[in-house]
Amino acid sequence: MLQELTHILQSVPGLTPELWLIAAFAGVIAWDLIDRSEKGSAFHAVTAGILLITSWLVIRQWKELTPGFLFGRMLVIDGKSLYFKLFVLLAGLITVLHSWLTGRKWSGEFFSVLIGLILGLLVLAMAANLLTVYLSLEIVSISSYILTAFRGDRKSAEGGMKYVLFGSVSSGLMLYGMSLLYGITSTLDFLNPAFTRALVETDPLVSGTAVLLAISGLLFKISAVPLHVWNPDVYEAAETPVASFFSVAPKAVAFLVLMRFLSVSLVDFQPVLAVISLATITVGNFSALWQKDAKRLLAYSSIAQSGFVLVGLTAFSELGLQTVIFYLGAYLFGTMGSFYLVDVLSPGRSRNDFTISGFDGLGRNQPLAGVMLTIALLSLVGIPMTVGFTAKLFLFSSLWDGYQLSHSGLFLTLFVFGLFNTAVSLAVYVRIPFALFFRPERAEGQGIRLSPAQLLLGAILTVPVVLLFLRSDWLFNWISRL
Amino acid sequence: MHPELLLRTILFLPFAGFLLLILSGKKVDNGAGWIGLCFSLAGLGLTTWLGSGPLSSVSFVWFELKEAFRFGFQVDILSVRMLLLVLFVASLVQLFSIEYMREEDGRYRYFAFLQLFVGSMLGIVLADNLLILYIFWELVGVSSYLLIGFWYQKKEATAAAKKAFLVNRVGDVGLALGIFGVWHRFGSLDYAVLSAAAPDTYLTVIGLLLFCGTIAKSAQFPLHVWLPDAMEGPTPVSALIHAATMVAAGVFLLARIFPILTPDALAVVATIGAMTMLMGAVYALRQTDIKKTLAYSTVSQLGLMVLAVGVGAPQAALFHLFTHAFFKAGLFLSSGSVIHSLHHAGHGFDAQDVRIMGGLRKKLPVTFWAYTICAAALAGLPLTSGFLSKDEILHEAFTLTAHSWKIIFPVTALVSAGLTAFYMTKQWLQVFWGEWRNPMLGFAHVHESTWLIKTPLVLLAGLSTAFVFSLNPLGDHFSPWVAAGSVAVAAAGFGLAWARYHGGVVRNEKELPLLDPLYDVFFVAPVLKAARASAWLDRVVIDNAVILSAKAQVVLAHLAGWTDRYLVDGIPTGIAWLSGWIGGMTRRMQGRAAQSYVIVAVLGLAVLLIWWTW
Repeated sequence: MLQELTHILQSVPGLTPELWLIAAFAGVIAWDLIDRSEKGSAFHAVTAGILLITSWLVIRQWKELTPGFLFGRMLVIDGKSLYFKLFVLLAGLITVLHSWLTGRKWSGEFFSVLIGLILGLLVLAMAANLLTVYLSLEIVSISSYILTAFRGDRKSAEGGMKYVLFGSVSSGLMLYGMSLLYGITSTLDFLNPAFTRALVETDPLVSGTAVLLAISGLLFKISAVPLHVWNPDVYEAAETPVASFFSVAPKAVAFLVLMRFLSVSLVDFQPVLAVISLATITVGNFSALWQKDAKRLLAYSSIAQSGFVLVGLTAFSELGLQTVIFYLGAYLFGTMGSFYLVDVLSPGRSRNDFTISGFDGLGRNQPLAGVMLTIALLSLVGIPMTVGFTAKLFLFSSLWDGYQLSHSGLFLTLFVFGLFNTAVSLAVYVRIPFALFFRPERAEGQGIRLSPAQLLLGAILTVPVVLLFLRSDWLFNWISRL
Repeated sequence: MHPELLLRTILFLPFAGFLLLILSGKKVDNGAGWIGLCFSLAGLGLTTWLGSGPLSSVSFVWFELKEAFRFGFQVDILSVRMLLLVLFVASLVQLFSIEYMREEDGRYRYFAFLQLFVGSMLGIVLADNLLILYIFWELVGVSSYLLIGFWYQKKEATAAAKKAFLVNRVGDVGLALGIFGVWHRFGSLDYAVLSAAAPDTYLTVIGLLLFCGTIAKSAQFPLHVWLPDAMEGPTPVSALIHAATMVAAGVFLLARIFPILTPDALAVVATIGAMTMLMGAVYALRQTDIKKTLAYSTVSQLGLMVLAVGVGAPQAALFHLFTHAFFKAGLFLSSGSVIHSLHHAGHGFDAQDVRIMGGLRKKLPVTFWAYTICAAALAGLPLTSGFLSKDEILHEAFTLTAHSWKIIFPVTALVSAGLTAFYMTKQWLQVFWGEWRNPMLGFAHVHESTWLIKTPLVLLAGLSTAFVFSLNPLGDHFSPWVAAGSVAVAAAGFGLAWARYHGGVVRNEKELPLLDPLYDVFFVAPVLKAARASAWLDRVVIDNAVILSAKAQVVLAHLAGWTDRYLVDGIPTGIAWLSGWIGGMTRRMQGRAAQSYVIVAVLGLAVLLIWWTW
């Protein structure tokens, strides 16, 4: 008893950043309630500050804390969870700056819900138990529903509602799978060897069903086929900074949990992942081809990108997992950069209207921003001179290694189709640069002028895209030490 | 084709047919019968193919859960024969039904349910353990319920369907308990492990509990009451389910569990069988409804099969099951042909009442000959299949029970054989001989139906002759004394009936009292009383308690209301406003889109799962 209490007490320092966020969450709500005066962009500054302090706390953890389990194997702290925490905080910070620089006005709840969402993601990054996975995933989902509907117009409420309905179904599926897993293994502690052993001894039909259902909540978060349909509607409904955050942070953490879970379940999941990955890439790319709205296009693109990340998971080697993490890093800059620059350049921003034809000729008007957006988009395609190329190169070489080892036809199919899809995706992304530079200018685009601060954030997001191509070893060495 | 794949396909086909028909709905009404027939014929063809291969080795595991539940199917010579029987009779019945049900609405339902029945029956036949058998046993019950109640506008039909279902539940409880007992005793439900190495009371009890399933499904005394009522269903259904196949499943079950039946259990089985046989025959004597006579005759014949198992001759019982399936299906379809012809000739009278028939041999020659051959088989006259199987049972029974009190069983069987000959002759005379006795319908209007009806009759009559089953029309186990005895008894029954009814005379005979009033007194009334008592308890005791607690709640509510008004009023108002706001926002949302998202996702996951784990 005493021993357990001591263990719990010792675990508390591992949770400092999260405790700080909980306090900040309450503080922001209280501040908004007590001080009713117009606060302008003060919330943005405060939230950015909070996130910076959290990042500092996480970095301190990195230096001081020894890896291990917290709270009786409920949470786990290791290099990967700390890396992903930083990743989430960076994405959060970019989101806040994005919203700030585009002059959006929010009430205080927006920021507290955003902090809640980040809190959920931080816990999810450490989750080592099916219970904590489920709970933190629900925190993330519920906060996401609210943020989607936050614009307050009909479209946004509709998107939020669809998100809620779809999210609860997948959450139910996931819970069902988890209870099956509990029934099979009689433990929720999925990093425990006993869990793996019990799973291996079970009939593959049963364990396969349980595992697939249990990961369906994660597949929903990464918007993998067939749980991807909500994605475009929600991104279209939500404000651009929110959509940008959704497309990066929850996905990355969901991938981390997926990696953790699959690395212990030992079920032969590679074929099914390969199929999901193939379907996700194809559906994402080909649907993106027909989109007229830049945000919907980016939504489908983020589906396709998830499919590419799944390629790395399918290979499932040490190298494969590292490339997944690398890919996510590259993806953060490419995607958030695209969302941000599409947002600042679009003439219809205040109406939440991002028709691609609205960008006609803007590149000649705003050459710097136009070039930066082009770089970010090319990184999503995977053209050389951007980090996207490096990431895809690593990804497919790890898949090729996997094929050399197993000689599985599925791997080869995935390899060929993945490369084919990369080629197709060029046609998707190049439509925006084409509009920017080769179309005649329109009247409504005349007044677009980017402030120096806006250009600076654009540069902060796009410079790493090129820099990490030139010096990819910086990021990769870091990741390989995790 | 691989035998395992073949087996899966045979089992899968009827269920596919069921889904196809039930999902297509009314628009396939015209082709439903042909679709169903194609499915059954395909199954028949595949089964023939399966039967030509090596048999004992074909078995597969459906899936396995920690080795506790092996869901498997097996093929041996018995199950192949049963498969052929079920699919063959089902095909004929469907062919017959195409004409018979031509003017009914909802034929797609009818043929879909027939497919469901066939599929479930195949499952029973192929099961390699009791659990699988039980699953399909229940499915058979469901499809029988659906088919008896096919004319759901008819009150009698729904009542009969309900009765059949409920009575079968009683037996199923026993069967389930018996299966639990087998699990407890043997640690497995596979037929392979069943053996009576150490007969004791416990094993006797298990055997008798399993036998309860037979009692209900095969309409044995005292649970036989549902079968005559089930005649409210369409006649082809009666032929397939309530004569040839489903009711025989009980006998099939007995044959499968035969190894664990202890001598004591067998004695009970034989006694029940004998009682049923005699009682069914006696009831059949006085029926005036053409189908009810046949129904009681079925009860009686099933009793004979059960008796055969009871005296230790399961092979003979199964042989009789086969021959009976053909000639009884033939008899039912013949009666269906009669009913159909009369229905077409005119309305406003009971087309099933033999008292207002007569002389029909001139108008329905094919039906007449088919009926005659099948009836001869039922009466056990020489050169028919019924003679072979009945004699085998009698022969075996006399051999096995000689020098013990059990000799009473074959003797009873002889007596009931005489009764059978008597009532069949009576019906034969009243329907086909003598003068036309129905003043409401001109005799000239009656005529034979189309080839769709005639083909099954001819085939079934052909299969009721002895030559189909044995080159020696007197049988391989021919023993002159038994044969002479049984022929003498049948001849006596025929002679007496001829003397009493020749020329198709109708005599004023009172119907025999049924068992149903007894059930009303001993089971239904007490249950109703108990229901009324619990209603009283509910009204007086529980209602008052509820009222009291309601009063307490009102007091509490006042307290809570106070708290609410002064403390938390803000929250509900806020929520109300919020929901109103969201409602306003989403009023015109495309709900259908959200639903289809979910359907796409769930179906996608299901497809993935099936592909992955296949």
